[in-house]
Amino acid sequence: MNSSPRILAFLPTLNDFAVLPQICAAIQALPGDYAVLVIDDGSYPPLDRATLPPGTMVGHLPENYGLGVATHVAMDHMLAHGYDVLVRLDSDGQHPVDKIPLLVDEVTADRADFAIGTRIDPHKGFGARILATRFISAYYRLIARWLTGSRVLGDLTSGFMAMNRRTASLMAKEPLERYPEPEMLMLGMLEGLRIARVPIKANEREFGRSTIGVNRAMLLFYRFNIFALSRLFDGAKRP
Amino acid sequence: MMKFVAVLVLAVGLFLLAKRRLIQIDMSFFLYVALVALAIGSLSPTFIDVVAHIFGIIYQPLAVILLALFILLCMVTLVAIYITRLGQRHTTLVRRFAAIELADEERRRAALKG
Repeated sequence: MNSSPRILAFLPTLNDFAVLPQICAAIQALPGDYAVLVIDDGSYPPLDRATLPPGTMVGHLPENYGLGVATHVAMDHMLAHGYDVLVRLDSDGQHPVDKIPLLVDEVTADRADFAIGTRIDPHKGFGARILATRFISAYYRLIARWLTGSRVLGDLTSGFMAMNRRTASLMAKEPLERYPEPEMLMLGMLEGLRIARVPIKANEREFGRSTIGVNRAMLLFYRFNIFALSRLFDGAKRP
Repeated sequence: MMKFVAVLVLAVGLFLLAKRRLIQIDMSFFLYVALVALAIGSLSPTFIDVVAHIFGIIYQPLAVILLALFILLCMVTLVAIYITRLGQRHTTLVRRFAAIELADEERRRAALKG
């Protein structure tokens, strides 16, 4: 990798514009060759480009296609325009911008193909929702360990990640659906990618709310099981 | 006689739907297969009895309902497969269009950077 890697920071957003200009500006202020790409995943009203700092690239999807398609679009762009690293972070300010270089360093220093910002104690508290999330995360880790033979540390659901071109090429061929993070991480493990986990302290969500309700959580849980079973039948080999 | 009229009306109806492209020709294939199978089955006065016997259904008329449910399930599955394929093709197109739009964005950014 060259001395000044080109980095594409990608923020998918759905009606979540409150802190987006500040996040874009903070990324552009980071040392290094950063380009910022915002994918508006079918927001209504659509994201107004004028609210973002100059130089921010904006892509509008005509409908809400979900994180999988938005991530695909960003990976396609990264691969087509010669970027070395793709960083993905949330547009609601939960992911600390100042930790981006830590993830990028893992990739540019060739220590990892795929770096995940793993939240420290991501699900604090004892509410029903928190307990359910903890249980599901533990289940995800158990299945991931069973399939891959590797111990999966931290949470599999973190959307704060950096990847090199090899990882993007691999993921771009896979069908990614809504909330694809657990599948992406497991795919990476199954394909023998070098995965680094960078502990981060996620910020509290300042605006908006999680789009994952009970129904969607059940659907995601079901989808993860289908994914795991499919990989099992495909004869997933432990790396 | 009425059985044949019913099958004929359904067959013509399906043909018209396919002809006017209201149903994709490929999708109408299974419906025709089901129609032909039912038409042949209806020729035999013991068809339902045989079906009921094979599946161990004691109350024979219930076999008609189960047969209809089976055909419906097959059709719903077929439609789900078509919709999934359509969704995948749609996603491919969305990615292509987004790539074109973002290529412009990249040019704009490069111009801004000088």
